[in-house]
Amino acid sequence: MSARPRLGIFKMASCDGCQLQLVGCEDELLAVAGALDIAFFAVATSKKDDGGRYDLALVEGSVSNEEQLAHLLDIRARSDFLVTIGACATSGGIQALRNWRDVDEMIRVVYATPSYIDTLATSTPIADHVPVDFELRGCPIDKGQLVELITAFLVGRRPAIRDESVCMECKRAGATCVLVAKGDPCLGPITHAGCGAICPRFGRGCYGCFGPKERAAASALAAHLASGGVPAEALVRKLRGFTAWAPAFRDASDALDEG
Amino acid sequence: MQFLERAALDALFDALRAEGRAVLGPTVVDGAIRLAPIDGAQDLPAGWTDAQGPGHYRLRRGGDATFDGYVVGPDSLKQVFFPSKETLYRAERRADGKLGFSPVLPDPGASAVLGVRACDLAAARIQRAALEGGPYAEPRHRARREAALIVAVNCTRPGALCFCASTETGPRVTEGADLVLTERPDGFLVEAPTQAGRAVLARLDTRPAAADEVAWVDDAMREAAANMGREVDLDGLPEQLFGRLDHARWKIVAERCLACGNCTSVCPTCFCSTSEHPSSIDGDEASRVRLWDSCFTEEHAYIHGGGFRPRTEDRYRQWLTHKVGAWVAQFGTSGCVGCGRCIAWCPVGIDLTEEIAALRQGEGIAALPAPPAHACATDEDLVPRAATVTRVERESDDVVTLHVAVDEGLQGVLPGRFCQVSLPGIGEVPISISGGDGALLEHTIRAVGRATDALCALSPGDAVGIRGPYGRAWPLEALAGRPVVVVAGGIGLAPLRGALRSMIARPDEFPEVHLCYGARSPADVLYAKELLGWMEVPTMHLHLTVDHASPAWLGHVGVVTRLLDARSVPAGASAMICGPEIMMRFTVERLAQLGVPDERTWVTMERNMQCATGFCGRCQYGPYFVCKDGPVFSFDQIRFLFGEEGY
Amino acid sequence: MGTPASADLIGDILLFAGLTPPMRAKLAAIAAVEPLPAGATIFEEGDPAGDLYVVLDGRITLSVRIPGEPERSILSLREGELLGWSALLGRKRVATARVVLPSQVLRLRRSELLELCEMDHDIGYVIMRQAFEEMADRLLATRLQLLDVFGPRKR
Repeated sequence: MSARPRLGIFKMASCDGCQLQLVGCEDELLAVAGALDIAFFAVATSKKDDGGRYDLALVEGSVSNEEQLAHLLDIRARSDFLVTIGACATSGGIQALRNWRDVDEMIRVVYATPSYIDTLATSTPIADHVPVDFELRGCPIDKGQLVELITAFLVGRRPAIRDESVCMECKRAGATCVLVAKGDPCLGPITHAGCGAICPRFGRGCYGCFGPKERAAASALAAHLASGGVPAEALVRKLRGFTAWAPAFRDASDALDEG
Repeated sequence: MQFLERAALDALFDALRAEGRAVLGPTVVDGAIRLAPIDGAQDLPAGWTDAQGPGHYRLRRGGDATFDGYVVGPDSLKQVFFPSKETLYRAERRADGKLGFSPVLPDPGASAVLGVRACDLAAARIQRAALEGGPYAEPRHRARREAALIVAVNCTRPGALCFCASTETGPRVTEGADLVLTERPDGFLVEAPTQAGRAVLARLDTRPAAADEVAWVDDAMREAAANMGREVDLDGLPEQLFGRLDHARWKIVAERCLACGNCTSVCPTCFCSTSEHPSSIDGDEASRVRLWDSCFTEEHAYIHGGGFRPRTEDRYRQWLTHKVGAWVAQFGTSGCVGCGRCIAWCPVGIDLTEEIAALRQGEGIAALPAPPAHACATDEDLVPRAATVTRVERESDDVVTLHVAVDEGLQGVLPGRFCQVSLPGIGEVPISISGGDGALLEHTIRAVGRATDALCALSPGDAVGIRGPYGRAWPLEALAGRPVVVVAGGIGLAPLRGALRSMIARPDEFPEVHLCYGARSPADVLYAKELLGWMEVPTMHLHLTVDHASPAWLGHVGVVTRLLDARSVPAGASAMICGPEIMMRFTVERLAQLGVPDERTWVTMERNMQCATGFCGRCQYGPYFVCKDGPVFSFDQIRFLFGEEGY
Repeated sequence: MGTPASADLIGDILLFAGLTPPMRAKLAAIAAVEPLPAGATIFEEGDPAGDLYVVLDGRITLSVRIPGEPERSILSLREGELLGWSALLGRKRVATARVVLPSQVLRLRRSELLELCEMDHDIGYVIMRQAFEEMADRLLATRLQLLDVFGPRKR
């Protein structure tokens, strides 16, 4: 049994929703558990991190304080293949909205006893701090993509996780384009696929929770939506969602913000 | 021509159902007219009107309950004949360790598609040419196509984005339909150009059309042709586009283009696909799934190490120069049928007709070369055959040669051609034939990615899948009788080895062969033992160089082009080249200086060949598909594109 | 060392094809043919400017020292190629020249060569032009080497 690759699932600043996707993989969970030694998975098992090496480490969450940074460096040093899972880990998450604000002021406003709070000024993705072998996007990640990632890791193939637009999935699924047919501002054309175009399939615009696709022309889409009457503030809010700090969205929203 | 009362339209559904046909037709779904299963005339979008513009589509309910208020929605026959996602085969690892491959072929029940427009019938013809009209025919596409009865309609009121009159693909239905309906206020004029259509018509209660009604159809079609919302001038366009690959417009359009792939997804002729190799977690069961792809994705132009079309302008140019350019040379028709979908469904409203008008300004090239003619189609189900590794030779620290025995044997194993080598659940890669015959193949593979890593790690007795061989071989017959210079770089020696062996075996036809071979370092020299043997062959002259070496290396040091001079390139020589593209570019120039003309210089191109049969579109290179028209080309066929960045 | 060169021998060298018979004679007067055994070092990286050579046959490699790594051969020269072009510019030797196969070279004495080029600009032009051609070829070849066209190494 010791020949099974060791899997560790770790978290930084996050809501645990991505880790829970693995628990939700009911059909596949047994197969995963059979093929991998789940050596650390705090939300699902009582095992402690034994300080050993991990063949595959899944890291959820962003780096938001010094303690997390030290933990991350330790995990990286003990892991062969490190995969970041979810919007927080891959782009800083919703909590990266504070990167545009004065963190001290926010602490004063939000917390009764600000002195208890020890935090960094920014919430940043894992890849800003350590090398990352693969990123799994989404808020939360997609179950199917998680199983594909683990299967691909075990079998030795490139995960079939496509860095293409949500539109590609939307069109394959036969959904009607909400942007063209309803004028709903949709971030699908600039957003990384993987969700199966779930929002457009239910008739609403994509809000970019998988973050930018490669060559995401966020400014070009924003310019088009602006020409159709969407106000700049609304576009900034649209781009500053769960993956606000991802460079393509950040730069475009900053440009809109500056007018 | 017959006349069918409007009220009798439901009888058409009854007639189709009486033949056991499932009926697909236009119907309103989620704010658009989609192609979906429908039960009767009540599901048709009577009284609906579409307002279409660049990046804009809105439906509203109009006055009359007629069908002339709307044109095409996002769907076309592409969805019916070429689904966006389908499993091609399943593979399993059997108890004896062998691989079993079983094709997944559709068993489409009889169907009928209603409301198909002339543009979409032209598009279906064009897709058929791509998927069934080359050297290989896709049986899944054919099965679905043959199962469908087409009830077409003549467009009497073209939309704002329609330009089928310019592309000569409408508005009148002239091909591909079993029944053709033309709507009048009181009913439908019906033609039945095929036997299948006449059988359905016979079940309907119709009367012969009056002479004035027949004349009315002609008038209506003339009027429709004159009322197109858009127009485009396709005349001489391929030459013009390929003459202006550096046009400033490519960059201008790229500033708006999102490279999202909506245009290609809604285009009724775009047929590019990609595939995935899902497997069970233990890897014992796997399949291959094909899905729609787009030349706007990065992965479409992926060859080991990265994409060669990184910029959006590269991708837009790739699309347009193919669609309304090289398509003509490949399929005898433009790939645009004037349906306007790419304009409507582009999220930012890029208008192809505007782009074409802007790009027409400037000098063209004289003519686009034509791809070679192919023998007519044979079925190709894309399923590998089970094979076994019999021997593994390690050539260098990242290159191995696999000897592979294919259970059923193979036809047409010739140097220069390639096979698709697959490991279920991991992937499939095109690998050139570096030796062998029908019973045993030799494949020299460099570990550059997951699939090639896994192939390089195989041991004797391991199972693999083999498809092929595919592509054009080195033209040894055309090369015979002259001195031949063979220039190889790195693993580029692999596809040349078989040709060298053949030339050595035929000294009368190949009295003087020079091999100029450049490798990265002495440890990277392939086939070292065989090369040593060749040094003893009187007709063979070996010139070997490495990019760098330790001082203990007594051979040449420097790039392979430095080996090319009057000694290695005799007067009147022909040349064969394989290596990295940039090395080939400089080699061709050097050979030209030494008097070897383009038409006697043969090169082999590397592109992202995924299906190897011309279906997937990924290796499209100007008027060619590298997989079936190449990979071996005479340089004069590709000079006009060779080395063009992003191509 | 070596035997004096003849004008005929100069005429056989492609590099000097542009020289008239009297020019060849002048060049022959400052040149000698030298046989070199395998393993000999002609000059070393960092040596002061020295003579100019033309390889008549055999094989000579240029190598460079890389701190912390074994010496690496980067270019080999063969029949008809120029060796030690830095002589024409008065620079230090930029690489080490080693004889890997028994070779013969034509050696042109540096100070006399430069003097000849100064006195007879027609000769100077031909020689400088040929050196320039050779530099251009080598620059191109070096660029291709730099591109490391064989793709990334596996980690």
